[in-house]
Amino acid sequence: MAFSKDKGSDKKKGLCKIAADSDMSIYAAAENHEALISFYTEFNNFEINLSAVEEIDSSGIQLLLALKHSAEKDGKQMTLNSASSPVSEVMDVLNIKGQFNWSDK
Amino acid sequence: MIVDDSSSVRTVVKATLMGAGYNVIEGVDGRDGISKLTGQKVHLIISDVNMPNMNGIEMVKEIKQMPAYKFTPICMLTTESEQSKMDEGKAAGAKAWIVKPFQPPKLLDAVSKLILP
Amino acid sequence: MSDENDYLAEGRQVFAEESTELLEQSESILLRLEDEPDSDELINDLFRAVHTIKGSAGIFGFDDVVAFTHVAESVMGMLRDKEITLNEDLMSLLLDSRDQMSDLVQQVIETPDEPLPEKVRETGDGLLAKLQQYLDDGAPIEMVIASGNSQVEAKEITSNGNTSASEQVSSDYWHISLRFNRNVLANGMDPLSFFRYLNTVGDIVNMTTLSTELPLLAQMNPEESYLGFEIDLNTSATKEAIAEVFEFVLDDCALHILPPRSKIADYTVLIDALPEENMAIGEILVATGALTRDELKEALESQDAQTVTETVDDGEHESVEVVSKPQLGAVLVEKGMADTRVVDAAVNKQNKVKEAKKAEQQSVRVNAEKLGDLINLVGELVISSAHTELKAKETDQSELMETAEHLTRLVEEIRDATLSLRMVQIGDTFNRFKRVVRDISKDLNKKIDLEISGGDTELDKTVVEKISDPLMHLIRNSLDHGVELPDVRVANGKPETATVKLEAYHDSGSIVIEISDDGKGLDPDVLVAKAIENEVIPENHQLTLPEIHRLIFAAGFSTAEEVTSISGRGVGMDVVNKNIDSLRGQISVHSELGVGTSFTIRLPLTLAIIDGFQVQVGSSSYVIPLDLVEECIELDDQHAETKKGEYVALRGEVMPYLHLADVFSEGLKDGQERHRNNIVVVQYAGQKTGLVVDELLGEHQTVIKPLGQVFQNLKGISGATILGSGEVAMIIDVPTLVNRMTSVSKENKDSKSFH
Repeated sequence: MAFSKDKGSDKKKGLCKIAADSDMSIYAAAENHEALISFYTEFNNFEINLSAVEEIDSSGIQLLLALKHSAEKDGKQMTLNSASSPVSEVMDVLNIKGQFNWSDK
Repeated sequence: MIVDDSSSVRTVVKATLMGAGYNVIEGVDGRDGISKLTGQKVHLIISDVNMPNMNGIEMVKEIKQMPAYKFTPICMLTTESEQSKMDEGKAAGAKAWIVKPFQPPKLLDAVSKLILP
Repeated sequence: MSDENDYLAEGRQVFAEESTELLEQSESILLRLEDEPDSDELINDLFRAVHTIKGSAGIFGFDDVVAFTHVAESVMGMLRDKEITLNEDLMSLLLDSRDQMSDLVQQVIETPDEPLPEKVRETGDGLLAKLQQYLDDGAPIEMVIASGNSQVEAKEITSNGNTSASEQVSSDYWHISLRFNRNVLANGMDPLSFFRYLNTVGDIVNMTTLSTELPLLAQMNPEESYLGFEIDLNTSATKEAIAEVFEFVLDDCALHILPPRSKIADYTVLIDALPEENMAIGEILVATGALTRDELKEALESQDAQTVTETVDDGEHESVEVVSKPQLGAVLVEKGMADTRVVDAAVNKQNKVKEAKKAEQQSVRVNAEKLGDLINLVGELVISSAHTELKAKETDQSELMETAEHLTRLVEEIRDATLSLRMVQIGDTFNRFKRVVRDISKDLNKKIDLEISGGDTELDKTVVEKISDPLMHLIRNSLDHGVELPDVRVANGKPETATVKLEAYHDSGSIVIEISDDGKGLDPDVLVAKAIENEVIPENHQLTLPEIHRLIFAAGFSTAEEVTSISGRGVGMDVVNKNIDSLRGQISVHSELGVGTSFTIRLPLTLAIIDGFQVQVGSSSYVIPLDLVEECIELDDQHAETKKGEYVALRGEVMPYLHLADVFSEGLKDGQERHRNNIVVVQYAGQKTGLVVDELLGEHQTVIKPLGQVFQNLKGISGATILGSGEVAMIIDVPTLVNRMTSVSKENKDSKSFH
């Protein structure tokens, strides 16, 4: 499972379209983390589609934030899009939406 | 999931939680709790400490070793005289507790602190 | 579904028993508190008892009980925390509150689905209003102290020339700062769920999620927690209530809670305490509105205040003040956290005390019926083993006899142990009277001390239960009729405060309970006049003083010149007498005019088993309670043929005797010869009486089987037992026979004297 590369990814452009897994809870955190790391080394522009996310907790948010930190440091790009309602809810509670770049807003 | 050897406690807990819209499965002791748990998706385990077959502390230790459940919050039902048991439970990984006797609202409070929507 | 109902019903039953016990406990604690108002332990116990009632009532949704108990508990909590002190008014209020709780509990148990009766509700509302006064009086003081404190401190610091940091920030919101430990997620705790819950406590006005501690993607452990949170909360909840939201993660997080309008200095220390860079965190606080930019500036500047002011201030005195300042600040924040820590420590200590207590009085609740069954079975066992021993003796095999004897000994031990299960101390019953005495003496404007001794004397639970009402009546009687008003007492040279003594002790197989007062005593003239007026005795009837005193037990006799609300309840002393009779007990009265009255109640220890002395009368076996048997003597022939009601000289003493064969109309078996030469001397309540029997059969352990309804009115028999041989033997009711004896002899004497 975990995060997967979408078809639109383009290695030459360095663009990586990522479809977030339905599970972004602590149970999937290790797998998701591993997947993100592998993408991170190969690409420098990340678009993460969050539409499939059914479960997300602090650990899921942390992953996204860590990716953002790394991207900022390394001059890479990262955008999010299509937040599912669980993602929206959690981001609202943490008041954290504004910390990310959204390609669909 | 509620694990308690006292059927009346299970009944009260189950009735309270189901009234609040949660699904509840029951285990009568630690051993039974683990076998009932297997294969189920559980968001919270509420367990008594003193039980036959496998007590609550042992059960917690075992659950914490199960990859599918190691992050599941566990809430111990303790009595006020079981302070040492509570510390043992915390060490084993059950970080939440409800002191018996409890009022249903208290149970629901604790549950909503532990379960994500 | 029906199962659930069953569980709830069962649970309710447990609740009923538990709360009754706790309420009794509360009452006795309250009464003990009157004597030791400073006992922290008692106050703690009281609080705990009421707390438990509230808790269990909550489980079963007895909201009326919870609502009232909660307020009472709060006041007791204030008492425990020494915010208020126990005075007479509060004591009365708490006692009344206890009664109300008791009424409420009874109400919800008996009619759980009906609304409270108007009367109970009204009483409750009245008490609540009074209780609330304590809470209101206490709470504002607390608040005044809280706000006053910061003002005082503000002034003090101002005088030290360091104004800025002491000023209050303008924010109206609570500020919560949270840093979770790395392992909090692994423990199954998610900050998110706590925030969701926090929303039920107040409005989260501002939430800032900090990821400054979060490492880069490659370096992070995805199962650890790195986030921090700064929250502004709009709520009227207390700091404790806010902290409680995070109770499960207190071990796993650093939590700072600053109340609205905290001093800037507090923020300074907060900023210092947080792991993030000062300026960064400061900016966040400004962004969230917790601090204004000016306030932040002051806060950050005051971090260096120490060195700055030290150089500015020239007085030694001042510099000392200033040097100590950071510590003061640290103390302030420590205070913020200390709340929970202090509470934890206190809870820990309480729990330890509780554990110790639990260990002391660990007990198992057993259904009385089961215990009754056990005692019955043990009774059968005693009989069986006696039979076995008997049969073993017949075989003349020494080994068998030895085994049988050993068995009998063990069985006796089992019997004693079993009976002791039903033994309870009479102290609880006694303590209940403290309340009665207290209330009644207030009503009557009398000053009365109740002295209790021998509360640890044990007797059978059934006896204790049944003796409670008669005792209550006797005490009411003493208070009402015995004890004089204070001015009368003083005029008679007695101390203003009367003493009523309640005493229990063991005496030769019985328990004796004495109720005595130092009141005006029984007036024989008044008693006789009253007895004649009420046609209890004919006119010109000659009576001894003890007999006159006993008149108060006669049916239809009442000495009260006016029927009072205290003892004039239609139940007379005759009922007391009957109640005690039914317990195989005896009551006697001793009184001296002007000095006082004392009642002595003698009761058997248990109603279940007695050691008996078996005798043969005619064709039947009878058992005489061994406790009452003094000795056995031979009756010489000339006396043997005389009829009932005669006397025999016993070592120079005249003793009446009675032919049991006549009393019970026992005929002879065919070919049986009547011996009639043995007298069993029994003594009861100081009176010796001889019982003439045909044959002495020896000691015999007897399990009393109550007689059926048919035999209920059989005089002189208190029960039956089954002998080892399977034969039924009647147990002789010695008190009744002795009484009959004395009245018979009285008649004889009277008839003689009036001849």
